[in-house]
Amino acid sequence: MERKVWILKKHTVVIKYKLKNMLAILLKKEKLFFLIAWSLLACSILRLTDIFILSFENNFYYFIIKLVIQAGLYYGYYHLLKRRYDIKLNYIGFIIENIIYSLLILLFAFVFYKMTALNNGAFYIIHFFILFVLNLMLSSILFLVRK
Amino acid sequence: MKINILIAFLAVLIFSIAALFEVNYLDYEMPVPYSKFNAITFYDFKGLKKPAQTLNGAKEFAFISTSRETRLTNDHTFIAITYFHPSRSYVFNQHIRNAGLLTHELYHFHISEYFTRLIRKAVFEYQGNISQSAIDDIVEMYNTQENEMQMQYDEESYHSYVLAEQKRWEKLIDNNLASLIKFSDITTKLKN
Repeated sequence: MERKVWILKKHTVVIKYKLKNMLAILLKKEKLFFLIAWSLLACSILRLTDIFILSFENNFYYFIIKLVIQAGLYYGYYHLLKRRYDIKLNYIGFIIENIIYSLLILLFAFVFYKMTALNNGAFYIIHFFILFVLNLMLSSILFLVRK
Repeated sequence: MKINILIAFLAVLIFSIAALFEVNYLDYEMPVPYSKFNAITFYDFKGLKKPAQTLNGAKEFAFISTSRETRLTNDHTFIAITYFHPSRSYVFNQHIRNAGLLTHELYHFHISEYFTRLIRKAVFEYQGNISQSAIDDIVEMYNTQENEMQMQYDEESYHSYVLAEQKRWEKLIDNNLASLIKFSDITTKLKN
């Protein structure tokens, strides 16, 4: 029993240490700007995609296409981060960044909506939530099967 | 830092292209209030359609964009105006002389005005002091009802192709508007 508690404590300490280290990397100013700029680009590409795939009345294809773009761009970001800033994210960092990335996309999409839509328009936040969850899943798979 | 600026610039450029399909800012025309609906022609439909957008496969179609502005002034007056947005409305060919199609699109505008009049009526009949949030609730409720009616109108008249249904709807909308003629003025003096 004592040993189990010790192992659990050890794991907690390791996770805390990894998280602290990762946060220090994630909060680097230049890297943060890169994430913001990349999210802006991803959001704009998703908006443009909306225009071109509007004819797909099937919601399934709509989500698949947008999911592939969103997760694909994030995966591209992960590799650019490695090449440009020599930052290799671990899984926790990868997930935290992905969450921030998705939230930034939501924020930019909302600003775009506010700027272009009429007051009787509708902002479907549920679409972003579905994409957010699916994107986390697909990105995790990509992370785990990466070379 | 340079790469971030480059990425942000590229994103803004893509956003600008995306926004063009929402509102054609390259050929912008100010919104037209309902009082001038008689002057609207297909030459006022300056919006762009989204590249893949069709009407059940057909490319020959039009759509109209309308909105409503509501505000409460300090002197106990409520103002509600229905607008037609030229740069957000589209027709496949501006030179087309299809009175039926234009009438169909204009009746969407009339439906919007009908709901604006219902809003004016609801605000006028409101018991007690009306707040901005109470007005917002009323507007939202009627926005939902309007969307349903607009869709029903398109479905039943099949975008003006079913002439008998189109005529039935025109009569219905005209009657609805006439029944609220008392609320046709954009300003409504509040009771309290």
